[in-house]
Amino acid sequence: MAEADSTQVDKLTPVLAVAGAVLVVAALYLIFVWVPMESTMGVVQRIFYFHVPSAATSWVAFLTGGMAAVRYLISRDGRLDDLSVSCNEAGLVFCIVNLVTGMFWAKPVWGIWWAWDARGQSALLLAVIYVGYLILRQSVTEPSQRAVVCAVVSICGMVDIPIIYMANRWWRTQHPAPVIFGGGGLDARMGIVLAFTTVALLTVLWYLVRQRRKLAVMQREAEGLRRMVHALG
Amino acid sequence: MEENLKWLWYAFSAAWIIHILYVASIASRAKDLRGQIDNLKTLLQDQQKRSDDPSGQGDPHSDRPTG
Repeated sequence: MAEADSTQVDKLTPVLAVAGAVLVVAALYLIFVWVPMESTMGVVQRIFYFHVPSAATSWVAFLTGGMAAVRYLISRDGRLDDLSVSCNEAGLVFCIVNLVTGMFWAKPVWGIWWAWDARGQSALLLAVIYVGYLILRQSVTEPSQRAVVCAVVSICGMVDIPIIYMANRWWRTQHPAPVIFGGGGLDARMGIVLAFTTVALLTVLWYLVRQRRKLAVMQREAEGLRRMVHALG
Repeated sequence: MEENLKWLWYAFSAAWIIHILYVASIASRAKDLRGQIDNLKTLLQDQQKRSDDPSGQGDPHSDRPTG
């Protein structure tokens, strides 16, 4: 089964790399050339087409990582732990991109780098949770204990995602009222670019998760070999 | 307009730098692990050879470390 998995990774990963690159280039064309200019903020509003899809992609990654963690706790299959850590680590990359692009958008539009509003804080908390998750993975050395503890953190981390999504509905925030699924008037072309960029970033996420999974498989192999060396030595 | 363009440029550059650094970190960690796995396999083979050898001397022609 492990053999079949690694063969599959080798076939699909290059295809995903090419597809991701093509989709990202097409998305950049749509963002910088095709989509109409927003009348209030001007050109800087185009950060929106990367800021929001990065957040959505990180949520997909964390939710997938959390689901894999739930399944790991039920089945104790190490490959699900590999999937969970891969999704969570790649998700953290997109979460950081979301925070950084948000800061570069906030500075010219709000005049400040960071607004301590509910959405910003809950998004920052999400990043902190998964940074903690990765630190925890480094600090617990026993593999099955590490997988169980990290699965619990991964499941807890998912709870923050609906809070981020609902933050500008539940509380008064610096972030604008919802423009997607919230009755806001988003131009049709803006919606198309937003959806296209999300698909492009999800393809990049899929590629990164597969690459990270290869690493997780190698880490387990190295840990197994180390145990054998210790047992024989 | 030009001022705003600067922020757009910073945001997109930062996003891609973060992605590229992550891909580079995966490649670097994979390289390290491959080296570790190769070393561990060599070590394991040497240990197995020593345990199979009744004299306990190991292979005298081997230039690999036996410890």
